[in-house]
Amino acid sequence: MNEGIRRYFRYTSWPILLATLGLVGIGLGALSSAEQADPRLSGIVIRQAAYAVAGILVMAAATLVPYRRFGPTAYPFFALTLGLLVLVLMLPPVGGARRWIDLGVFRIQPSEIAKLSLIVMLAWYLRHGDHYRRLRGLIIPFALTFIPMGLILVAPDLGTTLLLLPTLYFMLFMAGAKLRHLLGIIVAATALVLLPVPQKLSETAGQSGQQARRHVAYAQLSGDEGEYVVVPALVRAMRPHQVRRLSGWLRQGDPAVAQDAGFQLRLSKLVLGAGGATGQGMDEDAAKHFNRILPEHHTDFIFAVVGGKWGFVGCMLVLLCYAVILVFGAEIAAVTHDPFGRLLAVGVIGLLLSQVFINVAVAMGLLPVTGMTLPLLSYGGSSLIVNCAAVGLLVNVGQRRPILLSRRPFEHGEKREKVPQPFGPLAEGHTPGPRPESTVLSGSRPPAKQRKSRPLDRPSPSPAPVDSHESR
Amino acid sequence: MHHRGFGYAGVYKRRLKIFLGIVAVLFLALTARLAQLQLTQGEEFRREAEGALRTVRLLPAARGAILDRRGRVLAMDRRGDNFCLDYRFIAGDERWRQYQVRRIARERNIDIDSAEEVFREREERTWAVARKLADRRDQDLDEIVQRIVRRTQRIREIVGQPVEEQTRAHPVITGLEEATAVELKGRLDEMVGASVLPGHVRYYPYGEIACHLIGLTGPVSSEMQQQLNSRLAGSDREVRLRDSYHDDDTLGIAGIEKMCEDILRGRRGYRQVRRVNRQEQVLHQVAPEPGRPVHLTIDIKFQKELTELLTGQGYTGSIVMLSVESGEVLALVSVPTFNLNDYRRNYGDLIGDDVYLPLMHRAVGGLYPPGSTAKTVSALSALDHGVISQDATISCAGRYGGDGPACWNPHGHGPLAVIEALQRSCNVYFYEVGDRLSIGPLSETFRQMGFGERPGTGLPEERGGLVATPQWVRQRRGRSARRSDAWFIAIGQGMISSTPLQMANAMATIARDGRFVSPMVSLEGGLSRVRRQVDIDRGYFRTVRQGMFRVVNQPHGTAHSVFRSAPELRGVCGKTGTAQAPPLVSDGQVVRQGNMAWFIGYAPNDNPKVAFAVVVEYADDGGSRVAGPIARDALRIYYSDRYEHLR
Repeated sequence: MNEGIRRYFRYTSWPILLATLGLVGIGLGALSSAEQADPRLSGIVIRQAAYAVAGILVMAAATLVPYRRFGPTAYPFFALTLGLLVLVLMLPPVGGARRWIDLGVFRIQPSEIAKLSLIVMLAWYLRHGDHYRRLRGLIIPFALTFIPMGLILVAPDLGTTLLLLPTLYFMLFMAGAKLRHLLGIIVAATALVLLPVPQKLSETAGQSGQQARRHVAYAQLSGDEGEYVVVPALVRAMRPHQVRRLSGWLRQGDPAVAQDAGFQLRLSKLVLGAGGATGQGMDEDAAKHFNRILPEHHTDFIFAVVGGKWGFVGCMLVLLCYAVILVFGAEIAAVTHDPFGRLLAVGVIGLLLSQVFINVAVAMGLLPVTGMTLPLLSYGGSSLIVNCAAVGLLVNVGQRRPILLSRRPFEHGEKREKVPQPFGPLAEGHTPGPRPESTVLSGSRPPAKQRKSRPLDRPSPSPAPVDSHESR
Repeated sequence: MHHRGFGYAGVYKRRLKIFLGIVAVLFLALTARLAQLQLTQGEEFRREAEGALRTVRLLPAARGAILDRRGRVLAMDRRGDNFCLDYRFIAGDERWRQYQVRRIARERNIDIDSAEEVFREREERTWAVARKLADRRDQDLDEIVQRIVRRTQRIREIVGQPVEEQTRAHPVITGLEEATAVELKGRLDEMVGASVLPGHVRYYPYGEIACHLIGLTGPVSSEMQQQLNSRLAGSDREVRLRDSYHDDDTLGIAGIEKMCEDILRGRRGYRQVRRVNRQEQVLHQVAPEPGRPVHLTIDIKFQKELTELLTGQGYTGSIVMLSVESGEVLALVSVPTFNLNDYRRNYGDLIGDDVYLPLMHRAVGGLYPPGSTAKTVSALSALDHGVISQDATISCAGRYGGDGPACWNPHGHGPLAVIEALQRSCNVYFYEVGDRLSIGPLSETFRQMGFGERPGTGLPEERGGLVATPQWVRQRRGRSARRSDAWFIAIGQGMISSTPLQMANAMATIARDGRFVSPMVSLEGGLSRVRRQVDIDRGYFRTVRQGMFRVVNQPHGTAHSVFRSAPELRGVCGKTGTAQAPPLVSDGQVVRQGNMAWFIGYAPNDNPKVAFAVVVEYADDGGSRVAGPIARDALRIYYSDRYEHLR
């Protein structure tokens, strides 16, 4: 057992954990700025700290049970999540949106749980079989993703909705779906979404809403029954505030738009940009002022607060932390041979990458405002705990990596030993094998240089790393 | 080999590399953008942020008061309640709207869609209330709103940075009645973006007394703005900020309010504020300069009593009294009057009344045929040009020549010298005078006495009237002047018209033996005064004055009977006039007809102090019976103990 604990720690991906803790810490620092700026937010740092403690516990817990145990629970868990998503729509709105289930002391945001649930479910579904290498085989994964998407979209929570698609894509991509299928779907969907359709302007409410639609229109027409715009089909379906966000993003240079539809974006860039290299852009009062008037500065726009407080250096540190998680997460995905583990790891880093990129890009005006938290930094218990759990799962997969009991292949081409090894070092029923020194285990080591074009590729084709699934 | 989902493990590895490639590209993009925003443009954003904290607040200047000669307040700025709408509501600011919707959702714990619905209801109700208030005053809400938007944009342009006008409530309906204000305050919760806030309203304590003289304020029209602001072109920002006119600004549009606009208006101030965290730090402040007061030369109580002389009889017309010594106007009565405080509310009725024309300032802008009152000037002209002498007589047989125009006395006056001709107001005598003078010399004397041109008080309503010259006849009538033109001008009919003020001032000029002084209505503002000696021998003035003395004080004087009952008024000199005027036609119907009944003069005969002119419109009798008693009563009031200070 001692040996087991030793291995548990040895194969734990410490860079990922350190980066995670660093991000949570930076988040707490940024939140203290947000809290000072805005009296309505008093107490959020303490609460977020409590969530962080809970999150770290959840993360630790997520590493204790071998991840494969989660597999059979994937479908029930997914069904439960869908149930919560339906429930939230039936409950009275909290703060104007149907996003939370109020439990008194704590509000649960089912859409956050849905992200993780979807990954686990998809990983479990995609883990074997190659039906998704046919176009028809893609129907079920897409359908399974669209169910929570639809429910979250009604909530309404556009940001989370949009997040699920790239995650699905990353997972299908890594699972081996055919590129032409994936690209074909993208092209078809893009064409569909951009399809020009007419819309009567008077159907949209408000002067400002009409103006926004004009901004995003392909063309404007005047008919007998009023003014029409020709807009992309997606815009036709969007709600007025979403169209305004789109126009605010498209017309960032227009001062009138910056005052109105593009206000949040402009303010975000202002706070971020004024941070400069190290963050002494504004005096304390001014910084508070802008933090306060920037909507969602403690959640969706926390990156701007980081940028205002610590400047370029702080932002780069944040991006570096995410990069560490992504790269070491990719390493875990690379060394894992169990398809469920691989897909789980890929799902987690895919989700993380999507969230980080979209959120940060939004804060800097590269993408239209969608309303999405920055994982591990933004205020919010559900988001923080779920993201911690996701990182925990990633680490868990890494801990159960297969052990190569062969020596490193050197140029002299010594024949490697081949020791059957059903699971990773902590796999059930594992008997400690030979000393780890003689194994190739850690992705943190330089990979083998056998094939220049595939640095991540382990020596292959044979003898392949031992894995029960791949052993014949 | 059984591969699960992969052609071979290499695909997975390759794709993982592609994934890492995507990570690298995306993070590079983020880093590049970050460097652009924070390193390249950081300083720019810092400046923009500082600028966004600063705002300019305009500090309105109170408009100056208008006072009478005793210091009584005739016009003042008073606190009043205004119905205001937030600029962001008016402009349809989406961000503000969303904020309000969220607030509604929070307060009533409903979802956003229901809150949107509530907001829309409130929005509609707000507009409905505003429209109702505007309609009740005959105002156009759309126009008011457009004015507010234009004003804000203009100020924003001048300042060149955000101004508080963009985020504050703007008065839409000003000077609410108290009951309305209370009712509205109770309904604000059902509305959105609306408020009832105190503001300044112009208040006129004497209501309708001297309404035409005091005048009116109103919003500045676009054309006026252009005209007024063009004066500021090339001035620096501060001057333009403080002195420029914008929509919704108040501007004097009539009377003293207009004439003394620059004195009354003052200069607005401004405050440059840096506002952070709801705390304000004043960076720069320029205090407003309140408008200065304007002192009028009239006595409002005196004016009131004179006004009642006309209104008491149901007359319309005018009374002007001015100080002979100083040329100061002591009373400038024009009837009918209207209440200045209710002007906006009654605007429709006032402007639509084309029978009694209540908005017309008759004392300075009403053009009347002078009738026999003109004979004073005709006599001067004849004496000056030597066509008559003081003693030479002209005989009146009731008709001029065989078939010429008649005298008012069909029996004729017999032979008359100039003094008796004035005393009895003989038409035939003055037809002959006109005939001998001809139109050129006659009009020349009228001009010298101040007819045909504005008297020069500076009041915007002032008119000059008409004195036909030979050129004028040629231009306007397309013919050369006839002898008969001069006959009629000599008795104040035909191509001659004058205002009561002109007439009173001509009396003052005669009382001063020919010294012309342009009248004044206020100690401040107005035009620079003209003082000149009329180029006529002083002796001739004495002759005319004798005639005017006899009109009142001797039997056969046309006003003798009227003044016989007032022995204390011995020494008044006057001249009656019963001018024929065409009937007033409105919509094809004769609505008013009668004579313009005049009585003009000065008092007392030796050392004259006061000159006056009374005109009653469309009187059913002559000057002596209608205007004479009014003038007599006015002089009684003038000589009463109450008005010792006027003498």
